[in-house]
Formats: sequence, C-alpha cells, structure tokens
Amino acid sequence: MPEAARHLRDELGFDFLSDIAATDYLGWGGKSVSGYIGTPGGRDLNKPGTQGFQRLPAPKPKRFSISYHLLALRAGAARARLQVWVDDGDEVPTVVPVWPTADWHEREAWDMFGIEFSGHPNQARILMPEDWEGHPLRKDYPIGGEPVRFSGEE
Amino acid sequence: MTVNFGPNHPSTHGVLRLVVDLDGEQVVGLAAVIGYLHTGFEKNMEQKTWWKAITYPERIDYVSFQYNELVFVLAIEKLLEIEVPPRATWMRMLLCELTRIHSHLIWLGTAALELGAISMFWYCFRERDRILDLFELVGGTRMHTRYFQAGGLAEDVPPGFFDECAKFLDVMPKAIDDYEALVNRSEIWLERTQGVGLLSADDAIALGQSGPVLRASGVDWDLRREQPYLAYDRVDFRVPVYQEGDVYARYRVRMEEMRESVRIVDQALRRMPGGPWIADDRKVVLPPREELHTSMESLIHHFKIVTEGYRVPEGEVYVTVESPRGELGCYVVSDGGPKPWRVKFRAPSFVALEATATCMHDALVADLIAIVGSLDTVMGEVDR
Repeated sequence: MPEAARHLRDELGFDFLSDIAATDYLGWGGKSVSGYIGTPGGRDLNKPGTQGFQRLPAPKPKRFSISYHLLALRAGAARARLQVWVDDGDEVPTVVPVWPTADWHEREAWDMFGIEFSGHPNQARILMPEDWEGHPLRKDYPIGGEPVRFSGEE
Repeated sequence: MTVNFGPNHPSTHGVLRLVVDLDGEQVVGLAAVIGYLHTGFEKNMEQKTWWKAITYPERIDYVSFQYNELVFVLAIEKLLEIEVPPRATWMRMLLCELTRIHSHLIWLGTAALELGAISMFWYCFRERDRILDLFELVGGTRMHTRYFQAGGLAEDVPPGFFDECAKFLDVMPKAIDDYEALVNRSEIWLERTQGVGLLSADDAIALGQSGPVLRASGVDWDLRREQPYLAYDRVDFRVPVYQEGDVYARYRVRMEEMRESVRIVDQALRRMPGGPWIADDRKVVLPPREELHTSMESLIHHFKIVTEGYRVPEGEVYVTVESPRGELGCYVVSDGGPKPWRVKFRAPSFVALEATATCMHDALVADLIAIVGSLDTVMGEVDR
C-alpha cells in the first residue's frame, strides 16, 4: 500500500491528495433496490426494463472501503482513485509520509469509522470529543443514539 | 506558556480552539482543536432521499452555499447521466460567481475587522447585501436558496433579475476600488500582512492547499481553467497568481478574483441562453404544476418523486469544483435506491486549517489572528 502510494506520487505525478473518504458497506445488498439502468448514452425511458427493475447491488469485497482521491497538478488535471478494502479491526498503513495532508483525513476516518492507520503520528479523534464512544458514520451506529443525560423525573 | 485561543473568540470565524505554546510573544507550537460545530451532515444525508438531501450541503459552508449545493447536484447528475439544459448551466455559473464575490466580501470584511479596519466591514457588507437581494429574487430566500435541482434549476429566472444583476455589476468594480483605496496604502495593513504567514509552494501542495491560498503561494492552478465544468471553457477570465505566499498575497488574489468574477457574471449576462431551465426527464424532475390537473401520468410521477424520491443508479463518483476556498469535492456512493448510501465532502477549510501550524512558523501571537483569518476557514465546513 505505501509502495502503491509512492508509485502514484513519484512515477505517475499524483502529487496532490484531494481527499480520503471511508465508506461502511455493512448491510449493502441486504435488500434489492429497483433502479434505473443507466447507459453511457443516457436512458431510453420508453424501453421496458429500464426502470422499476428489482435487483441486488453488486457485492463488495469487504466491509469498509477507503478511497484516496488523487489529483495531478499538471495540464489535463488527471485524477485517480486508490481504493483499499478492509474489515473491522484491520489496520491500514498510513500515507502521511507520502502526502502530509493525509494526517487530518486519516484522523477523521478513524473518528467516524474506527479504521486504524498504522504508523499514523497522532491517531486521535478529531471531530468528536476525545471520550466519545463509538464511530458515528458506521451503519450500525444509530441516528439519535446519544444517551439523554437529564430527563423530566430527575 | 500555553494559551487557549478560543473556542469562543471573535476572530476564530466560528467555534475554533487553538492551543498555542508561547515563548514570550513568539508562537512555538500550535494545535487546532476542531469539531465544535460537528452536526453529522453526512450521516443525516444518508437518511434522506436524494432530492431532500440537496438542502443539507448548503448549510455545511454557509458562506458559499451555492457551491456546496452545486457540487452535490453535479454528483447526482453524473450518476443519473442526465443532461442539463444550457440556460441552467449558465445560470448556475452566474450565481456561483456571485457567491464567490459574496464569500470574498465576507472574508475581506471580517479579516480586515480583525486587524482593526472597522469601516471595511460595513462597506463589504453593504455590497454583500445587494448580492443577497439577488439571491432572494431567484430563490425566495437570501441564503440557502436551494435553487439548483438535479437536472437544472428549481424555477425559471424571475423577470427583472438580469436587470438587477446588471445594476449590481455597475456598482461592484467601483466598490472594489474603494476597498483597495481603504487598505492598499494603509501602513498598518501592510505591516500586519506582508511577510506574515509564509507558505511555500511545495508545502502548500504537500498540505493539500487549494484555491486562493495555493495561488498566493505561486502555484498557477484553478479548476475552472484546468478542468472546466459548467460553461467555464466558454468565458474569458484570468487566474491571479502571486509568488509571496504571505497574508498580503492571499488578500491580493482574492481582490483580483472578485474583479474576474464580475467579468464572468457580465459575460454570462450577455450570453445567457434561453430555452428550458430544467431537463425533461419525468423520472427525476417534477412535472409542471399545471399538468397535474389534466394528466394522470404527470400526477403519478409527481406522487412518486415526492413520496419515494427518484432513484439514482448504483455507482460511486467524486466531483470537484473550485469554490471560493479552493477544491471542494463530493464523493457519493449510491446502491441504486432513493437515498444516498454515503456522501463525503472534501472541505477546503478543513484542509486549510491543517496548514495553520506550518504558516505559523516563527510568527508572533498578534500575527496568529492575521494568519488564521487569511486562510478563510468556515468552521461549519471544517466540522460538517
């Protein structure tokens, strides 16, 4: 993984790390969705089977994906997405030595998803308070899941 | 000595806490503590249908709301493979450039206020109010207009808007002259900004800086020119670049960008195409109101879109635009259903704040205010 990052930066010129986006795919494909089938030429709405067609989304290899969105600061503005798949508890090598800007992005991924980055200089929560429990953007983290501290009876 | 700067300090542009290590007046260490405005926009958007989720991004960066709306709508459109009519494209560009002026005005007003130039604040907010009047004309609200829809615009441009916009364009260049006359030769302004908060080009790229901060460090890069979206490849504008990398260079870049934005708005006004303002795709776009009384099909489509929302094909996209703060990105994952599976915003303010410690090298505590101000962070966008 660090070799791939270095290769992208040094050999292919992707010197600008735009973003690191983690995604939780827990429950992905659990139920079928009816969606349009898009084609590069657009959609022919009069063709049968282009809508209301029940199907399962394509399965994903592991629970979490981490997408590194890269940009080459040169004519043409080439972009690349480096994607890493991990399960809960797996560690990902940090890319801070390759792109220093990754520092806060990786902290955010840890804070929101609980993905650990091995070798990160300061793996601490960034948006949530330090004593927060759980990782809010995981799919099994409930909306409104914050315990109520005071109620009418107290 | 360790000093807490914020979380509630008038010059932190929101709720930001900086833990500053001081040796006398010299800043020797700095750590930014963020998250006070974290409201879980991204989590909330996963619970909303696509078209309801469009209202959320605007509230993330409440100073350049149209851009956040634009980037999310562009991401949906990319997944839908829907074609946007030219009138909507040009109108989006026009409004986005007005937003750029609006955002830079707020930056200039507040940044100057923090350095003691109080009158600048009033002048900037005078022009800002005129821009908000224009937004009120198109969207009905002064901020968070939600005027961009997947497929185009929510409604056609109201009558009289272009005239009002032209009147604003008459005023704006003179107003920029006024601002520059106020501070350009002010000894205090120059002393406080020149040579302060230095950021080299290499550091700026390594730290992922973008927008005016990157251009003030001598990197000639603007997504509007390098990776044209909307109709930017059909208008003529200049990209200001300064080599110094200090607070003053960032000020200069933003002032010139305002002038260029005025030029783009002017060209958009002159060349605004007619025709439809939203795509003709009944599976995504609400049917015209008058059809609901006569057409059963339209009624069904209306009902389905409002109750269930439209469905977006499975896939993942990353869309970027050049916001007033730099590269604003939106990563969207869809499972083919009516709600986004994951939405992630690449917030330029978040990245800019990461660079504070580097800019603060060898700075005095008084410079800290000028430097944090010059990075133009919006805390709502940092914390999301």
